[in-house]
Amino acid sequence: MIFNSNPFLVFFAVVSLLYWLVRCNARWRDGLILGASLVFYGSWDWRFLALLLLTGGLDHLCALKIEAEADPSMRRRWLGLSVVSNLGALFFFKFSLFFVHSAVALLDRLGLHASRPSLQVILPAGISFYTFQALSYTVDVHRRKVAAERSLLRFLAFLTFFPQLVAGPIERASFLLSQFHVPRSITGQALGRGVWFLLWGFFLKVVVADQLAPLSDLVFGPGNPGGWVVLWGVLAFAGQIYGDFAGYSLIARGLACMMGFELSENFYQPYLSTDIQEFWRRWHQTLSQWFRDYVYIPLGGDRLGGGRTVSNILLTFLLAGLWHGANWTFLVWGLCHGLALAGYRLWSGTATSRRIRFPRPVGWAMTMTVVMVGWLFFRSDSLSHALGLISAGLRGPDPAWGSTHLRAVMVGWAMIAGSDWFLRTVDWERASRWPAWSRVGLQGALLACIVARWGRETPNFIYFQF
Amino acid sequence: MAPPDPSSSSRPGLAHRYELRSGPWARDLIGIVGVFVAVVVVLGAMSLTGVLPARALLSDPDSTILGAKAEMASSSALAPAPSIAFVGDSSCLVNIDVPTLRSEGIEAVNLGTLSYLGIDDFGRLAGRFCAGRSGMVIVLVVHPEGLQTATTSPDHRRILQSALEPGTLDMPGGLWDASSMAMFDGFRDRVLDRWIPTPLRGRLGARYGFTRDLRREVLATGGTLEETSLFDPGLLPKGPGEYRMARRISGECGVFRTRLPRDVRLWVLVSPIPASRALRGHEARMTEIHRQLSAWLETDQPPLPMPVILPDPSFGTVTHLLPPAAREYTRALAPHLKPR
Repeated sequence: MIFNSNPFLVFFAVVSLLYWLVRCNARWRDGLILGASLVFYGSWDWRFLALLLLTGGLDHLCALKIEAEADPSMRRRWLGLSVVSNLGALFFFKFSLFFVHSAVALLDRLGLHASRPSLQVILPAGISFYTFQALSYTVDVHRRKVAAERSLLRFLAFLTFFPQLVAGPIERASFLLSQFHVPRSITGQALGRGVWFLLWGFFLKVVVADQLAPLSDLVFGPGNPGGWVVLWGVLAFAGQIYGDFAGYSLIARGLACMMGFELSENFYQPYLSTDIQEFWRRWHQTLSQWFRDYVYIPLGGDRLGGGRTVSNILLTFLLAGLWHGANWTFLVWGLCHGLALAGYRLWSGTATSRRIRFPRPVGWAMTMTVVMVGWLFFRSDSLSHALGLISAGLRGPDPAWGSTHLRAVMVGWAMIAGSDWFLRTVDWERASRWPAWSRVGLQGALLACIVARWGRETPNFIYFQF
Repeated sequence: MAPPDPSSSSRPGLAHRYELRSGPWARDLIGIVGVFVAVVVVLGAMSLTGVLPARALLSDPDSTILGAKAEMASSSALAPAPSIAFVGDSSCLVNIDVPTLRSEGIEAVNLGTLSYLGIDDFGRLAGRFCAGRSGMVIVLVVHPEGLQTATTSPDHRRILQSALEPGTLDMPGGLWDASSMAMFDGFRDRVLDRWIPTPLRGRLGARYGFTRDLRREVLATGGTLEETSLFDPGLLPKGPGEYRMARRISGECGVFRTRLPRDVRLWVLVSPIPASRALRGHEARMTEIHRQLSAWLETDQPPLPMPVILPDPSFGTVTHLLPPAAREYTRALAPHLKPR
C-alpha cells in the first residue's frame, strides 16, 4: 500500500473516521495509530512486523534502563544494546550479502574460488528510517536531552507513525514524541494546510516524478544510449528523485497535519543551492541533521583541525552513502559529496580570510555538477555501469535520440521550478488569506492534474527501497 | 458507543480536539471538489459533443499499437492499397516483416496486435480492411501460447473499439480506475497526449523512444514491430508446452467469419515455438489445431508449409522472433502468398 494508490486513500479515510471516534482518549488514539501503522506496514510484508515490534520494544526497554541507571558504564551498556540491536538488524538485512559477495569477488580475483551463498535476504521496507529514528531516541535519552517514554504503546505509536514510517522524515523524540503528550488540536487551518501539502505532494510525485521516471529509465535501463542523452537521463533522474522524495515528504506532512501532528521539513529548494554545504542544508534535511548530530559531531566535527575535519566529513558521507544501500555506487556517491564538501570547507576558510567570493552562478554551476555526477553513480546499477555511461556520454550527440527527449525532460524541470518557486513564495498561511476563488481554483486545478495522471500503474517511491 | 463530549479539553487523557470553525477549510473543500466536478462535467460534455479532438491513443504502448492498427485497417492509410492483410496476436505483429514482403514484390499490411484480444477482435480489423473491397486475402496468424489463454482483456477490447469507432462514449475502466471514472482518460487521450509526449519504458523505450515514435515506425513499416528483448533461455517458460485451445476460441472464430465478406480468401498460420518448448509430435498437434481452426473459420485453404518449431536462438521471447529470424521466416512465407 503506497500513498499514490487507491487502497491507501480508502485506508486513510477509514483511519480518519476512527480517529474522530477516539478523540477523547489518548491511549485509544495511540493504539489506533499503532494498529493503523502495523496494517500499513504489514501490507508490504507482514513477516517484518515482528522485527519492527521487537527492536522497538527493546529500544523502549533500553531507554528506561538508561534513564534509571546512575552508573555511567551501565548506561553505556544499555545504550550499546540498543545500538547493536538496531545497527545489527540494519547490517544483517541490508549489508550482510553485500559484504559476503564483495569478499567472494575479491577472493575470485586473487584466484581463490569461493562459492557464493545461496541465502536470499529480503530488505524490510523503511528499515533504514525507523532504526535511525529509534537510535536517535536512545542516544538522546543517554544524553539526557529527552526523558524516556514510560508508555510502550505511545513509544511504538511514535516509532511506527505511518505517515513517516517507511521513508521519513526521520524525526527526533524531542519533536514528534513530545507531540503525543499534548492533546492535539485539529483546526480548520491545520486541515487546509494538510490538504495543501497533500495536493502539492501528489502533484510532485504523480505529475512530475512519474513522468520523468521512464525518461531516466531509458538511459539507466537496458540498452546502450550514448552522447548527450546520458546528460538528459541524469537530469531526468535528478528531477525524478526530487519530485518523488520531496513529494513523499509533503504527503507525509499533509497526512500528519490532518491528524494534528507536525512533521519536519525535509526539502527546501535544494537545486538552487550555490554551494555544496547549502545543498545539504536543503536536501533530505532530517537525514543530514541526523548524521551531523550522531556521527560527525561525536567524531570531533571541525574542532580538531583541518585534517580531522576532512576525514570526519569523508567518513560521515561514506556512511551516508552506505546508509542508502549495499552497493559500491552509493559509496562513490557519498565519496563525491564528501570530497566536494571537504574541498568546499578548506576553500571557504581560505576564501573568507582573503575575502574571495565566487559569483553565485559559478558556485551554483559547480554545486550542480557535483550533484549530477553523484546522481549518475547513485542511479547506476554498478560502478562499471556508471563508468560505461560516462564514457558513452563523452561520445557526443547521438542521432538516434530526437529532441523530444530533451523537451520532455525540460517540461518536467519546468514543472519542478514552477512548483518550487510557488511553494517558496506562497506558503499555506499566505494562500489562506487569498480570495477564496483563487485558492480554490488553484487547488482544484492541482487535483485535476493529479487525477489526469493518476495511472493504472502505481510506481513506488524511490526511497522506499532504502 | 457514543463518544464523550470532545469540548471538555481540560480532561486528562484527551487525544485531540477538532476546532473546525477556524479557517476556510469547509468552504475550500466544497470549492475544490466543486471545481473538480465542474472540470469533469465540462470534459464529459466536450467528449460527448465532439468538441475535443479524436482520441490520440498514445498513452501507452498497447493503446498506441491498437490505435495505429485501427488506422491502418482503413484503406485511406495505405498507399498503395495492399490486397493482403495479416491479422492476429503479437506473434503476427512481430514475426511478419512487411518490408521483407515488399522487397519480394508483395504489397501487404500487418494488422497483428496483441494476444489480450480475441480472434473476434482480429476479425474487426480484418473486416474494416476488407470493407467495400473485393478479392482480399486475409492471413490469420495465431500463436499456440495465445490460443490456450482462457480470457481476453476487456480494457484492450474497449480501446480497439474506441479506435475503430472514435465516436463511441468513453466507458469507465473499473471501480478503482478513478481517472477513467472521471472521464479524464478521454481528456488524457484527446488533449494531453497530443501535447506531452509519453516515453516508453525499458527496451521498447530504448528502441523506439516515445509512443508517438512507436506509432510513426509502426505505420512506416507496414505494421511490423521489432522484438527488443535479448534471447534469455532462463526467461522461457519451463518445460515443453502441451498446447490446447481454450474454449472461447470456437465461438470467437464464428464471429470472426461473420465479420468478413464471403469472397475473402482466408488462410490460417500457426506461429512457431522455440525447440526447447516442443513436445514430441508438436507438428502433428499443430496440424490438428490448424484443421480445427479452419473448420471453425469455414475456410478450405490448406496449411501454409511453414515451420512450427524453430531453434531457441531465433527467439527474443517464447512468442516473438528476433528481427533477423522474423525476416527469414517472412522470406520463407513470401512465395506462398504470390498469386498463382
